[in-house]
Amino acid sequence: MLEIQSVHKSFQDVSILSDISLSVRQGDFFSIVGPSGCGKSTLLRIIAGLESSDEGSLKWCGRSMSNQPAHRRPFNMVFQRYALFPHMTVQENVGFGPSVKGWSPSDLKTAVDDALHLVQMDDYRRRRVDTLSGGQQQRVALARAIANKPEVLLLDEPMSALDQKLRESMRIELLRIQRRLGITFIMVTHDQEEALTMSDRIAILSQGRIEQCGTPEEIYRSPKTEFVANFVGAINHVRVGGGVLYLRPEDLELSRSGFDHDEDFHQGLTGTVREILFKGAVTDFAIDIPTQNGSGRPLMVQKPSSIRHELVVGDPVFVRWRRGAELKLQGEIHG
Amino acid sequence: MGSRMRSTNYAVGLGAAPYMAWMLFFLLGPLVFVLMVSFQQKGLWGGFEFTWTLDNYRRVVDGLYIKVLASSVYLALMTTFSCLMVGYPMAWFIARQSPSMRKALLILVMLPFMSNFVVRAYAVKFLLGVEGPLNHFLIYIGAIRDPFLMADPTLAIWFGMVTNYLPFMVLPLYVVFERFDVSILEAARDLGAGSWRIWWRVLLPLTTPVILAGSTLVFIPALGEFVIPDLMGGGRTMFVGNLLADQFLKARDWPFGASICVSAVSVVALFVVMIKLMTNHTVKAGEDFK
Repeated sequence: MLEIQSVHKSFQDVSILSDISLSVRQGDFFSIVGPSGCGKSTLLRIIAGLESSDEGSLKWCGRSMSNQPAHRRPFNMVFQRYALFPHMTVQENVGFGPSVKGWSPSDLKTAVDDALHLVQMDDYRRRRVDTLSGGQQQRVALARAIANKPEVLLLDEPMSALDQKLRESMRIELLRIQRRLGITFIMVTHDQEEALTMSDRIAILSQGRIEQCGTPEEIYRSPKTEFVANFVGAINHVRVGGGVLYLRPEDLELSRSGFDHDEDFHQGLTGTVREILFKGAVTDFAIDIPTQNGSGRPLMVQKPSSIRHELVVGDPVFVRWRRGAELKLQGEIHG
Repeated sequence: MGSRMRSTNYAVGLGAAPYMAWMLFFLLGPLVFVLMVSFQQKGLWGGFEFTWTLDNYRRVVDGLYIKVLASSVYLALMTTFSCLMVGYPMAWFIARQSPSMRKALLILVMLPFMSNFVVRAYAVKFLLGVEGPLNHFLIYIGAIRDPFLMADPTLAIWFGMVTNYLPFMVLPLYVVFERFDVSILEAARDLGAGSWRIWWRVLLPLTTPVILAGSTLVFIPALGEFVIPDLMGGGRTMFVGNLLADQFLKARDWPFGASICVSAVSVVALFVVMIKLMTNHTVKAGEDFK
């Protein structure tokens, strides 16, 4: 278990992280997510030992890591832009860690072989790293960290430099490697979708504070704050009576002819279709609701494209949602 | 396609024409002339007489003059090495400062270029001289007894050379250090390397080409330097530069001066070839395909 206790960090009087406490279970794929500038990379660097915290403590399996320098922690990092050694071959890069730690030649060879095999780069061992593509460099960077047999692997935006298609296949690849090794992965990303699909648990960071920590389902279904609700998906603000309800676009249902009365559903909104946005697998509908006292923002409804509809722009529609689908936010709510 | 390619090549060639003409007229021409003169006999009133001979080179390899050449190479090498030892950490330090601080420090590095050399040389000479403040200070604190120790001409020459040539070493190093991706060093630390290993196995190999480039920039002019030895050493020590200048300006022995010149140029050429081979080697070291 990695335990982070009330960590504070500021650079030149600007607070970067304030009162960060979280724990990461052994063997988990843990993601730290947030918009750029939220302090997530700094937090990862503090875990790695590349940065020191002003206050707070860091423990791994009960041992304090706060005073251990980076090279004495059983953690290894995959850097955002890989930071491979350009003057070395692939195998020299991967063998760097074991070699400076003075492993025996046979251990070193096994470590390099295993790591390269795991990332499927066996055939490239003698290549210079600058002759490799971005995706291949990424694999080498991964192998270089793994070869040290770390107990925790830290990944700083590992997929930000890859194109969309490669990123999606790399997600599956990373998960496969994590399951194979059975070690803890801590990944920093600004991509909420990446975090939701890959992680066992997620911490959402905003302006140096943890907004929420939980499983992807918890984060998505029961966000604690509006920031979290917005960050991991879209939300609609629906004014009903005196209050505001928060609803995910996919929880709303549409009908041109109206719905039969059903106790399980909350109904009563009527509007007109402003826009229909076909996105491939899903279709978004922007609905103008006159009773929403003219906030200007349309209600967003998302449906799988496989569900047939005959709506066109300008059509009047009825909107309803299942009772209980409303998100229950805690803390401050800004309408 | 082929003809188009050729016509672009012609255009490129045409663009290089002024440069080629310049080099032909002002470098290659004089060089060939000097080479030719070095094989002639001394004229009675200066200049040369057109008689082929190897006598000048026999004099060059004669004990005294070869010693002068050797001590010049030694001085140039020492200067280069000292500039590297001082300049490398200095350039690294400057490159790691905030942008405004970097600018200020760079101006300080360039300062020697902005003041008159002779004034600077005399200032240094005064500082290091027998009656200079440094000597007084060192004697006062008891570090030295002999007031002539710091006034040693070789020491003064060396000091003058390093001061003068340091910018040539610092500037190229600084450019490389400023752009150096620090995360590579962090990666090395993360993988378990201590500071010494990071330097030896990552930073040094990656900066070897620029070390060699800076060394070339210092070594070549340092070998021919004759003003600094004259001013700082009070004309008591002979280097290739002074020897050469004397042959042309005082002894009026053009052929002998030319032969010294050819010898010095050969040493420089040898040095450049060596650097070139070393650079190729460091580049190839990682290029181990298969």
